[in-house]
Amino acid sequence: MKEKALILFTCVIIAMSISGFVYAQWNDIIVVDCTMEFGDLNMGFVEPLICTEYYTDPVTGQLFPGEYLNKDVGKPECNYTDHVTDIDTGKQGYKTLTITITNAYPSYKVHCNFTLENLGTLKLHINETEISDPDGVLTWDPNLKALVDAGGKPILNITITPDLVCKYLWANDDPLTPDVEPVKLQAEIAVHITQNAQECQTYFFQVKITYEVA
Amino acid sequence: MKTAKIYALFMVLAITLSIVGFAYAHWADTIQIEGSVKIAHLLISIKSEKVLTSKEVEKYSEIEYQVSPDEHTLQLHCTNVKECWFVWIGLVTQNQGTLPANVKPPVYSYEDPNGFIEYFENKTYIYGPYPEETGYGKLEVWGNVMVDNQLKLDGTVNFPTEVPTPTPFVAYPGEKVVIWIWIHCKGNLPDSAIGKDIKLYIEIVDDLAI
Repeated sequence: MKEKALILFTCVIIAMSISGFVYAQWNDIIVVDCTMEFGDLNMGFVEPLICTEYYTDPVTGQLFPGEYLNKDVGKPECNYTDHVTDIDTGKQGYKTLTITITNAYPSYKVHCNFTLENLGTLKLHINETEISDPDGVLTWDPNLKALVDAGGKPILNITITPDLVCKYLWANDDPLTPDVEPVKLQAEIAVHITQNAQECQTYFFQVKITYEVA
Repeated sequence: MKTAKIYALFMVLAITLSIVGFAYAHWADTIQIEGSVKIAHLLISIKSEKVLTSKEVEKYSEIEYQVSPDEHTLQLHCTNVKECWFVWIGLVTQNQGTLPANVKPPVYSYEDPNGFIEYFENKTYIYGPYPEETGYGKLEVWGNVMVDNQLKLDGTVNFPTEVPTPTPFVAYPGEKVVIWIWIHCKGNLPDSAIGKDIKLYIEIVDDLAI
């Protein structure tokens, strides 16, 4: 009787081990490795950067570089700050362009030629430029294209050419079609001090250039 | 049950919107141009003054003078003015602004209750510009200048080498200018005006030379 029970037990064990082995043979795991590499949106200022004084000839009305009669009165300075290096492309640029004008006077003009570059891996689109006074003393009048005082008189005429809004910058330039897919954009900001500017005052302005994935 | 469904739907929408907004914020960015414009100023000030006349005039007329607090105007109070009365007024002005200035003759004005302004005549002589560091004593047209010597009674000047500078001319920041003004009371003064007082104001002209 005991022998029968032992045989039965052994058979059950063997049967279970065989069925377990068979099950193991007919099951397996596959692994799907999925890597999502996101694009990189990044625009910055790059060289060249040139700051130039201009005056309007009182006779002809034409614009000439320098100051009237070669005077050396106003002092314009411009430089880039907030250096960045794109982690994907390694391209370098700056996030801020600083323009400092000292000893300015009515009719004094400064033109600053800067360059924008797509530093990232995604095509981008400039969707807004917003001009303001960070101190809140002046307000932007889009009709006059000037920062105006509380009485609505223009103090600083500011123009950016070409208009940056709606411009596209590609991440990579196709060498075959360089004009169609620009990576860089050269532009100019012109600051003109009007007759309404007050002596000894310091005025501030800020231009925010907003861009998004195109 | 119905309320629970609406609540669940609302939560799903809220979460979806927040995710979309978060994602958009990460796919848009801003760079900026920051600027400051410091405006210059124009300021010509009277830094020294002299009021000279002859001993004869000093016997009958008192001349008091003072420079205004803004150093822009010289005020004279002259008593007992009569025929042949005269005064030489000297000013050293300096461009204390940050802009080049056009030097022009000063502006004269009279406080004249007796109405005899038309009997006054004046002549103006302007010299310079002189560098900022030039001391007053080194100016031939300023130091040791005397009436009836370099400054003649008839309103002419006689400096050994200096000649007046034609106006307008430019004085750059820091530079000095010397101005001599002869004011003279002509003859034929009406009896009603003789011996009266008069106030004179001599104001420096600020004019941008750009």
